[in-house]
This record gives sequence, structure tokens and C-alpha cells, in this order.
Amino acid sequence: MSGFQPGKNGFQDYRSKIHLDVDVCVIGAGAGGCAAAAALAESGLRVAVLEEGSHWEPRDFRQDTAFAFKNLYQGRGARTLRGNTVIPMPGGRGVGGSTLINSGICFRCPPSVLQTWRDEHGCETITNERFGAYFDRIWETLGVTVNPVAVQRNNNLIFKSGAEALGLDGRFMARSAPGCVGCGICQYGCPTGGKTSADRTFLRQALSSGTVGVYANCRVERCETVGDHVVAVEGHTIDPETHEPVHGIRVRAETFIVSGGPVGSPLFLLRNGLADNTHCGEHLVVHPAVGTLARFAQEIRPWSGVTQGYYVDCWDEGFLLQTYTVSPDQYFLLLQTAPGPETLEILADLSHVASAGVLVHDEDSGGRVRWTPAGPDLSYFMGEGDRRRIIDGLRLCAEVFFAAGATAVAPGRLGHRPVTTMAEIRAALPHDVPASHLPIYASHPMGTCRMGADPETSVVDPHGRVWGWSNLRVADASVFPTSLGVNPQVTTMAMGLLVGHSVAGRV
Amino acid sequence: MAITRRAVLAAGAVGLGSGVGVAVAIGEADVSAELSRDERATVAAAAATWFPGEPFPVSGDDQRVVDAIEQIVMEVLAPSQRLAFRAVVRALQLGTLAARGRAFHDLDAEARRDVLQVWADPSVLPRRVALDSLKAVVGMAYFRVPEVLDHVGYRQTCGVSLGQLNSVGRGRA
Repeated sequence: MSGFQPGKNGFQDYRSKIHLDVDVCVIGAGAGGCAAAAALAESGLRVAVLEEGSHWEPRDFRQDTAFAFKNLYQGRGARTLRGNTVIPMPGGRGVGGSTLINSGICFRCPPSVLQTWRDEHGCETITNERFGAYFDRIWETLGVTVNPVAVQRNNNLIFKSGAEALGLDGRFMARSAPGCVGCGICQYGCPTGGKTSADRTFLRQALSSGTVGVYANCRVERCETVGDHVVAVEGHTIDPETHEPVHGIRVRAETFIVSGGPVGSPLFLLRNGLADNTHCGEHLVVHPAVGTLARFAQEIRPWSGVTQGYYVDCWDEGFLLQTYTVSPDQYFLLLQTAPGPETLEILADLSHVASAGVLVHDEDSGGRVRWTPAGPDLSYFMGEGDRRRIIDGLRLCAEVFFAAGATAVAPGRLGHRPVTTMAEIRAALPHDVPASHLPIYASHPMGTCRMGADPETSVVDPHGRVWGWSNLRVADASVFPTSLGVNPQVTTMAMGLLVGHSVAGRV
Repeated sequence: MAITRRAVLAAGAVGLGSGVGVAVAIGEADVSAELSRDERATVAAAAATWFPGEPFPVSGDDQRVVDAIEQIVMEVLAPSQRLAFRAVVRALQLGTLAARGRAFHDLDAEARRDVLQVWADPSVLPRRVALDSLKAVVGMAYFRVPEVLDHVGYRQTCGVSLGQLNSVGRGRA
């Protein structure tokens, strides 16, 4: 296949080696890459968006964890961080990236975070005015809204009742799911199309220009450089069933934007010698989270309703409490009790379980992404302060559940059975619980190609340009100079718009 | 194939996140081979330890569950993950031979529960991670069985079938 084809291209279209020659090549079709493509398309640029995963339509998704892991998740759902504990870190794979499998939670980046990026990292492009306009555009494009109570259902409403009983600052979360009917299975891909993932929004805007071509099932591996210029990237088409390489692909462009996410982007730069590991791959932050479960006398049916609909704002304490729901097999994995009658009774009675968890704003934790001869090496070390904040959040989460009438709460510590009083919760969760005794989970990697005004302390400049390269940019959550403390998809899209507009000469 | 217990335990401890050490420990032939009779017996025994039947309508050693485990191992896991999974299974299978004189699947239910409880101890992190790898695959397989999902009530998501779900609102694009 030679010659640029606007529109959607996928594995079935590839018969031989692909050669493309375009204005801009975007590597990765997640939140950042899709938004960047939309921004570039406004200027009439010819853009090729390359993505390792497949195109997906709502009818393609199945309510099956194994199917989702194989087709929609990085590392087939088994991507983990290792350090002073082991942390699963899922991420999306496919056109749409993690927006295919996230819960659609939308937060504008807190102004204090943007100010830190300007004041401490020199990101002068990130003005309140510009990012405010981007956030408005994202809200409009995604149709961000708070879903009606009718689709929130019990798992969210019971937590709300507990938070209100305690007088906490809680509210329903705005989501990019204006057509949500409350299936509770966002993590399998939205089967109704009610969630407005990046492929259904920004990428459609880009495609409507007629100058953008999306090439799914294409993995970029190498690049060719001359001086300070990237001339071309090369890789392979990928069989979506076997994940094996098939045909070659080579793309020449005036500008390249890497949007492979906070794991893929630094690995691409490091493997190709485009950045050294002084900062590239470093400063990984992830919003570590721990989930907990509570049992109620009344029926909850946690799988019915908005997947993540309600939160309690404890920003000043460094954490948020958020409801969540998962499938029965994931509840089984989360339930850290011993095999036996009690575990079975809880699993058989899942319709009376509610779930919520704590998500902390990494303040003294951090990790890194490295390439080794054995493959990617992802590490993360939980700091003492963040570990204590998780404990504080878990205790508060339990208090909310008890205030809502829970008969028992699983404290969120490995090996501990559900308990019935706050005194038992505090006994199960002393402040010296090691990180390795908490079932920590993370789905918001950020910061491995951080942005800044000083090439000695950052990987990309305030326009997303990789230091030392004239035509190579990064546009995804890896450029965040710090952790956000809130779900990152909106800020990631804003970064995509910023970098896209910058390439087009509009910033 | 000669496999020392130490090598298997070390390999098993790696878990699903990486398969490099495992490939050395258990050999390339295990990438594509279906689960052996002993491996099937071990995963069936582990699944039956978590799900012995009551109050659920299906036991973890039901052939549909074991077949689903094998299908997930062969079709969903990447080759390196497959090797790691097999190493975990073999560590479980053979580890009890040294400690208790019997393979895991030959132990009675109480002894198997004890073994899984020991593996769940978070103080030995690699072993706990290995157990979670096994538990993840068993859970995916077990909660595919229609009677199990019906028992939990999970199939009534949204009160409509997935077919109906696919015909409703397409959101905003």
C-alpha cells in the first residue's frame, strides 16, 4: 500500500509495505494524539495518525474481561509497576487509547496545578486563558455532563447518602458520557456509544477535514534522523489477532508527534536515542488508588448504574474518594480474603456489595520507565506520605460506608476480612501498614517526558518539542510536569490541542 | 524436562508481568503446547479450592471452567505471559511435593486452602503476585459460566440484553 489515504485504514486494508509522505505524523491515537490531530486538521495539514491497536465500534465490544484484556488493554491487562510493592497499571490500546476503557471522568486541571507548571517549570504556554478555552472546547466536543440520578443507581447513591450524612464535600462527577444508560461496564468498551471516547469525538473532527488518515494496527519502532531532524519513522503492521508484525511501514513527515502515553512515549524516545534517561522516563507519577467494598442489607447491584459516578473532594488532604464498579471476576480478585465460606458468601451475595476507593495525588512517590535488554522496566516507589494518605482515605471511605448503613466493610488491606465497626477498621489500617500490604492499583500514568523551560530538567519545551530535535514533539500525559490529583483525560486532550496548534503555528 | 524446584519457584514468582526469566526456566516448547494433564489438574484444583460449589451452582473444577482457563492461557495471554503462568502453575503443583509430600491437586481441600492462604501472604510479595496471576485467570474463566453469572445476577446489566444495548443511543460525536 503506497500513498496517503485519508479516512480510516486498518489491517484488512494492508496488502504490502506501506509508504506515506505527509505533513505531520502522529504516533498514537489516544486522548492526546486524537486531540492533536483535530487541532492540526483545522489548518488543513495532511496528517497520518498511526496506532498499534484496532478501530472499534460499540457493537464490537463484549462483556468479557478476557476479550477486553486481549484486545483493548496494554500488555493484555497485565502491565505492572514494581518497587516497594507491585501495582497493576492498566492502559488502553486501540484507536481512542485509554478513553476506550476509562470511566469518562472529566475534571478541569486545578488552577493551582497549572500555576505550578508555569511558575516552577516555566511552561509559559499553559496560560489560564488558553487552557480555559481548551477545557471549554473539550466540554463541548465530548458533551461532558453530569448523568441523571436515574442512571447513577445504587452503587453511587449509597455512597452519596453516606457522604451527606457525614457532611462531606461530595458530588456527582462530570463525565464524557452524555448517552450513558448506566451499564457499569465502561472498562470493556462502551457498548452503547454513550461514552464519547476520543475516537468518536476529536478524531471524527479530524477525519471530517478530509486531510487526516488514521492507520490502525501499525506499530512504530524506529526512526531515521539527519542532524537535528527526524526524517521518517518505521515499523510494522500488526495482526490484530496474533499481535504479530506483518508488513513494513515507513512514514516521512515534516513533523512527528509522539503520543504513545507515559509508557510508550519515553520508551520510543529512549530506544531510538532521541533523549537520554536523565529525565526521559523519569518522574513517573500514577495516582495510586486502593478500592474497598462494603456489604449492605439492601440490594445494591453494583454493576448497574454509572461505572464511576460520585466523588468526595478531599483535595486539601491530598486524595479523592471515588465510587467504582467492576465485573464479578474483578471483585473476586479485589476480595483479598482467604479461600473459604466467608469469601464465597460475599461473592455469591455481590448484589448487596457497594464499592468505592481512594485515589491519591502523588506527592512523595515516583517511578520511572526504562528500556532494558529484557524489555520495558516499569518501577514505582510509594512514599511514606502517600501511603499514609491512602490509609486516611480508606478509613474515611469506610466511615462513609458505615454512615450509609453498611453492615460490614472490607478495609482494603490484603488478607483482612470485612469488619463491622470503625474501631476494627482503624485496627486493620494502622498508619504503619506497608505499601505491599495494600492492593494498590493505578491507571493514570503521567510525567515521564516532562515539559519545562530548562533542557537540564525537562524532556520537552513548553511547546512539546523534544529538546535537541527541531521537528519532534510529544503530546500526551507524559509531558505533565507533575501529578494532577484528578483524572487526567481532559488535561491530556488539552495538551494535544496545545501541541497541535503549536505545530500549526497558532501558539 | 528437568526443572529444579528453586528454578520453578523463582520463575513462578515473576508473575505475569514479565516472562524473560520464565522462558529460561521452563523452555520454549511450553509457549505453544496446550496445558498438560498435570497442569489442568492443578488449575482445576486451585479453582475448586476457591469455588468448591455451594453456594454457587458450579464447582471450579467443572470442565467448562478448566477449558476456559486453558483457552485464556492459549488465546489471551502473550507467549511470555503464558510461560510465566505455566511457571506459576508448576510452582504450585510441585511446591507442595517438597513441603507436604503430594502434588497440589492430590491434597485435600483444607490443605489446598492452607497452601493458597500461605501464597496470599503479602510479606512474600513475588509469591503473592504469582497467586494473583493465577487468581485473575481463574476468575475470568469461572465468571464466564452462564449459571454463575445468573446466580450473581450479573447478566441482567441495565435490565436489558447486550443486543438491546447495542441498539440504543449512540451518544454525541
